[in-house]
Amino acid sequence: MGYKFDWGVLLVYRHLLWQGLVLTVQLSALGMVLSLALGGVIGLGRRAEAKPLRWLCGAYIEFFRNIPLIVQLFFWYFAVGLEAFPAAVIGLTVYTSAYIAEVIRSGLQSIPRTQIEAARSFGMTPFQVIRHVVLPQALMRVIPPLGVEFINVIKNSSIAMTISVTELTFQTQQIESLTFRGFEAATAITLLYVLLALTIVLLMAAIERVVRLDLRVG
Amino acid sequence: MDLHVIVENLPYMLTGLQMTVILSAVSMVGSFAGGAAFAMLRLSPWWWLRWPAILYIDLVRTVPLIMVIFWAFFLMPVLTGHATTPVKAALFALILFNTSYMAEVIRAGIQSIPKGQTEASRAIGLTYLQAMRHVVLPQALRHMSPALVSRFIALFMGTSLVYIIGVTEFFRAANNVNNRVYRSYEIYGFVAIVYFVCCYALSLASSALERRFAVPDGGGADTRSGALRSGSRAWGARSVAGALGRLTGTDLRRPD
Amino acid sequence: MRVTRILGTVLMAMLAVGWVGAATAQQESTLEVVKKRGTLVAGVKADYPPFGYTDKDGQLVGFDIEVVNYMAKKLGVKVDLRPVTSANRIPMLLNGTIDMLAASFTITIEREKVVDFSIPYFMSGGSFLVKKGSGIKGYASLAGKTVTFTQGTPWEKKTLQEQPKAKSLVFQDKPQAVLAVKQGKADAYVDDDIPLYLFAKEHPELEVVNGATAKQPMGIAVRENDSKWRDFINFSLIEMWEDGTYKAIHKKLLGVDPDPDLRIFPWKL
Repeated sequence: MGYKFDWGVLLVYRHLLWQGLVLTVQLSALGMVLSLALGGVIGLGRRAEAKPLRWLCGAYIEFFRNIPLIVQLFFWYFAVGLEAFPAAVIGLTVYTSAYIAEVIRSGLQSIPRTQIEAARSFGMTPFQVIRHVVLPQALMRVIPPLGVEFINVIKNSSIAMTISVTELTFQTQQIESLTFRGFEAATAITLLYVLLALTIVLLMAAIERVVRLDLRVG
Repeated sequence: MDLHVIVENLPYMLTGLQMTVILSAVSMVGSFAGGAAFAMLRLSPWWWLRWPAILYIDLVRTVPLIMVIFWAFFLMPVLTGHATTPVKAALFALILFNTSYMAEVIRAGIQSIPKGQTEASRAIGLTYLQAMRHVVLPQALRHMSPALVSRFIALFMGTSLVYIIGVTEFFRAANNVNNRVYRSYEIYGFVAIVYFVCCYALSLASSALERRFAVPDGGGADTRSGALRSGSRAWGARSVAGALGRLTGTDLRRPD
Repeated sequence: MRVTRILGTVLMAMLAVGWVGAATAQQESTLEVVKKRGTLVAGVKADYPPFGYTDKDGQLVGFDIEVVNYMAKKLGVKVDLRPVTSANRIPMLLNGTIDMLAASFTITIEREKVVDFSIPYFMSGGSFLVKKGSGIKGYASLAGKTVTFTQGTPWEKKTLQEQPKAKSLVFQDKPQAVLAVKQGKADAYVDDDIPLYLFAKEHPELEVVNGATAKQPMGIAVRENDSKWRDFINFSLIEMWEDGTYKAIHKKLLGVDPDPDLRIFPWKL
């Protein structure tokens, strides 16, 4: 191939890299927050008393976990006809919420019933049980897998490039098509993804430390 | 709702599905081998074997699959010295990507066998390799099987991304059809349903495997079995929990 | 720990990059390679009528495919068609995946710097695909509007040059861009005129407005420093023109005679 490297193109096209980074961060942040909310609700619903609600939430989880994200995005954008960024946010949220619902469900499930029964027998109200017994333990169990899912959101945001969202992976192609320097672009962008993932790892570690403190003190 | 268009193009789309299955199966086998190798490296006592393995595993898992596919596309002809087909590049990318996950699954599986088992086997006179082969690995495989199926499902869905390097698997086939007939609701709805049916069936198999090989324990107090019960995709989380724990200096695998 | 991780990543990246840099270009002509292999691997479009697209039976057909078949027959080898997109066609040629690129590839100076083009074998101008009655007449009327393109084509750059106030929307496949105009997500789709005409035929609510650029030549692309291979392709194109095959294919697939601006000279005195 006799490939000549020209890292200067990264400087020349840094506005593209910046645009890509901004969009990836926006898309991922929205995706994380919304899917946590939605997934939390569905995960709770999965553990509800009412059988139909449990079944409905279970169906939601199975349905959106077993269809590739790219198919879901294409559906929202081309079939339903939403604009690119909203379609990407909705698609990413719905898809991730199914996984987060599972994480939350299993986190709640892993807390032994005996704990709750014991707390109730002490005379704690349901709210107090949740606040002081269930929630802290659930949070501790749930934070690591949530961290994994959040990193997945960042990775999955790359799929939005197929529905015209100009995020980081799109910019790899864009810089490539403008300068034919695919290698340099791919290297820079890979590094950016690693940095984003590291940010989440650090964030989750910080959150975990806060919760741990709360557990001790509470 | 024009279902006609699906029926007409079914044979073509099914050949795409065939390619999807082939890609998934071959990648699974390849990445199992690779993952086993890397798991061994990961568990080795020598830091100069361990650290490259850790680096590889963590690096590949933080990068999106699409980027791995681009990388494989650029790197493969250089590494092999001559031209490659999109299918081979796709396999290279999928195996490269999945190996890192498999390494973690296998490592967790091996580590889930209590040391007592190896010690007991050595005590009754088996060599290390015999102990591995007859005692540890069969049990480890049983523990791993839900996670393995879960990875296969992820791989199956991941093949939809190789459409960007021109491999005609199921999703691209359906896209080619839609690019001619423009019936997005019908075509993408059909694609969604097919993927759902295939992957859901596989996940039911995974649950069945889980139940068969359930790790007996005293209830929900142990987070490990909680993770097992939650349907195996949390396996990845368990091992990453270990990784995250290492990074932050706490062991997140043990409850509190 | 994190610092080590980042450094390790950079190190791995640099190792990979160094490896690539050390790779040397192949010295054997592609012509020999193809003959030895017995198969001609050609990159063509799969979603771009009439140059390359899939028909109802999933077969790749089109003008470029006919050209490739002609050349393979001349060599006495089989044909292996690889679908490419505008975004990945150059990498696929440069990294050796394909021997030649016959994918509605417009000749530009920038592209000539990284690949070698054959003599022009098709003329195509740029046009706008818009909804009927949109009132869009040219670049001036695109101010503030959303214009769509396919990634890897030169049209986004050109349009933003001519009309910096346009907003762009970029897709991977051409039919997706057409769909965007249909759905009102974009006001215009700028691309080569021939496929736009075909798209407009399929979608009566859309029409083609000319004037994005004057007609530009398209060429077949091969890797640089491969004279024998490029010569073969040029000679084949000349033969195709001389023996009437070119005109026949053009009429069959496009329904009209070749563009009068296109002349393939016989290079004979």
